[in-house]
Amino acid sequence: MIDPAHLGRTFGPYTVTVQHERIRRFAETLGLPERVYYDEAAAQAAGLPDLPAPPTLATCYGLWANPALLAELDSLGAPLLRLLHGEQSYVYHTPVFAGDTLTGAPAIAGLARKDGRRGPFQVLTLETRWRNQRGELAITDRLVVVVLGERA
Amino acid sequence: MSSFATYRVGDELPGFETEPLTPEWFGRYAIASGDHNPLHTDPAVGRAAGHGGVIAHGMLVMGLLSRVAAHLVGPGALQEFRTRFQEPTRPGDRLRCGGRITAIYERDGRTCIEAELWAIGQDGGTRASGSVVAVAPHQ
Repeated sequence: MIDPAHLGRTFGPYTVTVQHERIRRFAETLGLPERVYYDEAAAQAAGLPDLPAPPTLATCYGLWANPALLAELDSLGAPLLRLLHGEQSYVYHTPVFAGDTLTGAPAIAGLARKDGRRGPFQVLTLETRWRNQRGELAITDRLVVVVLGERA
Repeated sequence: MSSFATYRVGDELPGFETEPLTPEWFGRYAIASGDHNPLHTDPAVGRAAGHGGVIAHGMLVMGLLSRVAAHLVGPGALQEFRTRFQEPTRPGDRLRCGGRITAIYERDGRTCIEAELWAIGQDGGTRASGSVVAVAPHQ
C-alpha cells in the first residue's frame, strides 16, 4: 500500500498524440457504430475538424496503458496485480480530435485506508487534467483504484 | 442519435445486448487500449487473483456503455461520463447495456440531459453502473 505522505504527489507530465489509427481501432473494438470515428470525410461532413475521440479514449493514455506510471506506483508499494479498477469518470471540457497532443500530470488526489473482510486495503484516486496543444483543459480524468493489502 | 426535444424524464435509452464476451475480445481490447494487465489475458493470473480465470477490463465495459451514451448525443456534446465497476465481468457473460433519462434542465440557455446507465449480466447482476451528462449542441 502507498504511504499517505504521497497524497498530492504528481507524476510525469506525460505527453501523447491522438492518432487516427488509435481512434479507429479503439472504436472498432468497442463496436461504436458512428462513421465519424472511422472516416475523416464523415467527420468533416458532421462539421468536425477530424476524427473525434470516443468518450473513453483517454484510457489509452491513462494508468493502465502507461508502463512508466505503473512502475511509479509499483515503487510506492502498489504493484499492478494488487490494483482493481473501482470507478472511472471523465469530465469533458474541450473536444479532442485526431492529431491533438495531450499533456497531463496524474496526481494522487485521494488515498484512504479501509478495513475489509479480507484485511486492510486502500482506495487510491488518481486525477489527470489533460491539456491540449493550445493549453486548453480538455479532459479531467479521475480513476478510483482499490489497492489490495498484502494479506488480501 | 436522437433529438433532445423528444426525450422525457424516465424514458429508456435504446440499449443493446452483447454477444457472449470472450477472452479473444479481451485480447483485442488489450491491444486497442494499450492495457496489457495480464489479469485480463492470462488465465493463471486471473485464477491466482481468485477470479477463476480472466476477467474483462472494466474499461471495456465502460466503453460498451459509451455506445448507449452515444445514442443520446453526438461526439462533443458529452459533459461528464462516470462508471462504477460493481462486480467482475467474465467470459461468457452477455451484457445488457441500457440507460434511462433522469433529468432534463436548462443551463446557460442550453438543454442539459442526465441519464443513468447500466450493464447487467445474464444472471441479473449489475456488472457496472454509470451516469452521463450531455448538453444539446448549439443550434
